[in-house]
Amino acid sequence: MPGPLTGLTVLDFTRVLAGPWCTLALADLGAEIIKIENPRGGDDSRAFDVRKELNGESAYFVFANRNKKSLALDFAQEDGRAVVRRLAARADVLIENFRPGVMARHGLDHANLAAANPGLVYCSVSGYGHDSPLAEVAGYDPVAQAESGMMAINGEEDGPPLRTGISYADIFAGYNALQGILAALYHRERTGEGQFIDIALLDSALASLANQAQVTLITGRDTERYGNNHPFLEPFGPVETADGAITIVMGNERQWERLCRDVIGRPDLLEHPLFRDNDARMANRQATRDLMASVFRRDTRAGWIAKFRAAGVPAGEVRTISEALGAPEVRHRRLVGEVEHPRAGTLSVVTSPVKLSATPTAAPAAAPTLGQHTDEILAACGLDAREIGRLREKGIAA
Amino acid sequence: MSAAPLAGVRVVDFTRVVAGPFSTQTLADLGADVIKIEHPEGGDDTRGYRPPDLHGLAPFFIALNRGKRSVALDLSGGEGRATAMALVREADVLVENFSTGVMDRFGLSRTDCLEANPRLVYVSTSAYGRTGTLAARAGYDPVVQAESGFLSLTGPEGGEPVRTGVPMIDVTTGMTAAQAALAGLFRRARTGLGGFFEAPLFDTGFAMTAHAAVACLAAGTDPTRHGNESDYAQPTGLYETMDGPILLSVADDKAWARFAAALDIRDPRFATNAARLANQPDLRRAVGAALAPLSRAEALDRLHAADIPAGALRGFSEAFSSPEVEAGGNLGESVNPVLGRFPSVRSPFRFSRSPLPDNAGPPALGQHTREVLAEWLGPEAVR
Repeated sequence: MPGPLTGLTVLDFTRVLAGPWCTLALADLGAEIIKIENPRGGDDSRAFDVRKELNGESAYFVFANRNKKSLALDFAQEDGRAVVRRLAARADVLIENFRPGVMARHGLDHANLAAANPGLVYCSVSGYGHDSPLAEVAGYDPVAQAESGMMAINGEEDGPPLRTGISYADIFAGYNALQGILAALYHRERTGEGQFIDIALLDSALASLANQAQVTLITGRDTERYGNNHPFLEPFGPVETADGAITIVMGNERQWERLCRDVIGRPDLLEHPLFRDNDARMANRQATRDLMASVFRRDTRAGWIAKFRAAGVPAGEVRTISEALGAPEVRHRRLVGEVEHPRAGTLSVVTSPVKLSATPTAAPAAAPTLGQHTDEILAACGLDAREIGRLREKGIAA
Repeated sequence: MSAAPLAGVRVVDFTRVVAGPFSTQTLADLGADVIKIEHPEGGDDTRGYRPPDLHGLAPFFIALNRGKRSVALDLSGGEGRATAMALVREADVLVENFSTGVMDRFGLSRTDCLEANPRLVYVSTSAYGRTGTLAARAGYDPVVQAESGFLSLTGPEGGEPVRTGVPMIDVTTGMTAAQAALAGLFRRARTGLGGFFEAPLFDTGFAMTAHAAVACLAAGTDPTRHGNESDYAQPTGLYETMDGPILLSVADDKAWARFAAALDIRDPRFATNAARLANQPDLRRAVGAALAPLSRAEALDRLHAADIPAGALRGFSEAFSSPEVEAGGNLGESVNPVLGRFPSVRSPFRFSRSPLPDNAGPPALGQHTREVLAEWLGPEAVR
């Protein structure tokens, strides 16, 4: 069955994470992604986290670029640019994450390409946005995390600000680019018009701050870091059991009652002056945590989780990545798939989290080797074998 | 200029708390008419999330419900359900994030709704999916951060894993749900048919482990935490200046050459990335000593001139008053019957041809019940 975007073609000039994250989701939704890469090395992330288990391929690249085709093409040269113009004339979407101005220098900006294809949805992902006085400054996830305040609220209560282990500013920007593109495609269905979408890392990091940003905007005061604790709920967060940590969430007093009665078998705590309600537990945080630590040491992680589930109180194992990959929920939802890679062989990959009933997401396919689809794509846009050969000889295509 | 991309699209929104409301706020930002159905007593739980108390309103609710209209309906009785179904018949999109089975009990299951309105795009933000053995389990951001392995990636080197300050899994699930709705609308524009779309919390949390999961699948070993530093390149992370820390990242040897020249660091032990990784303590001292006597502005000027990724470490209040935020126009104003005009974060979308609506405030509970019923169902519906 086709996906919701089956039949659409996306010209993808993006590298590393924010842009590729967006086109990965477009691929999952059924679009054909033509990844245009510099013939000398391609996407920088092909050199990140290269693994011998992957026969010298990059774990980073194979994750972010599955279900895409690679066209190795040098558009710094006029013959390469001519190919891009031909592809753009029949593409539905173009996305790029160069610094603002780079595409224009090559005559491949929105205004130029839309003249031949007014329905083109053209999305640019940059650090600060095309109209920013900082447009020329390159954008990087850790910098956006620091500058947006995101890092300042991340970390232990008494520790330094902390960057997230995954590049969240990049991922948010990629997702916002995706939403912008989908909304623009819907607009195009109704009006025939394409348009330019300007997504910035900084905008995306700020927009993700949700309630935390709203507090500061209204009170003028900065939020503190809470680490694994909650600003106004107790108990909350990871606690050690006999064989590893679980994390607990006490969202309301009904859950506390069920925890005491049905999970830990201590109904006496409901009357105890130190613990009887959330206000008391907040006033006696250390005593509450010490009590929880002594209680949860007495059984295993699996034992406790079974009791929490039976009682309907939220809790989960604190897992490593490998434990998560092997978890029953992951198998049940088929979140890990297998693909055949031309060089790395059979690879396991994480699949799309979006499930659609009528138009399912695409089956996973491996990330391409550099230029794997060059001939196929050039032939499809009307170049004959002689012309393709000439581009290859001149080093413009590979 | 045309209208916003989702102008005229009607969304009936049964979501509460964070992930669902984040998704429908995005649809509202894109121009859709979002009708938030709330219980007449109290409404969305986040209306009561304190502290701080902002004139009786909670920042959680304000931050996740801008641009929506509130319709207060009691779905436990027949009349409320019939009204809800009448709204569903008029809607283009339905979004819900109840526990599995609740919408069925209200007579608003996907089968019921799609039968009544085959063009409906029905989006469920469930915890572990609407089918299978785990369908009944409720989902919470911190639990999913722990279970998906996501939590194990963030934290200081050698220290414990730390939950993210922003509820990342709720926020990203809000994004995948909005994407599902948009993809569904696009498909419907081509085929005329709606359908059922799902974006579960757990599946999204798991997808957020990104390259770490693929590396682990390949190597069979778990990734380790590195705090603010990178395990691939040095120097990276936080460094002090005279008046506050900056974050910097020197990704390769060419960048190092520019960086070292900008800060006048001459030491052959740091010439290659491999050597810098091997001599990290000395490298950190050398870079620290070069930056410590500079003002933050001077340090950033020099690094930006050398094309090195670097930025000030900011708290929110400083971020909000920064030149970047001013230039980006990231802050807007909202209006609410209780708060009046107040500042809020703008949507991150910038469209050339279909500009987005101005920020509208979060609604008071039931503020638009009569107005919406009259508009969608006709004047007789409010008699």
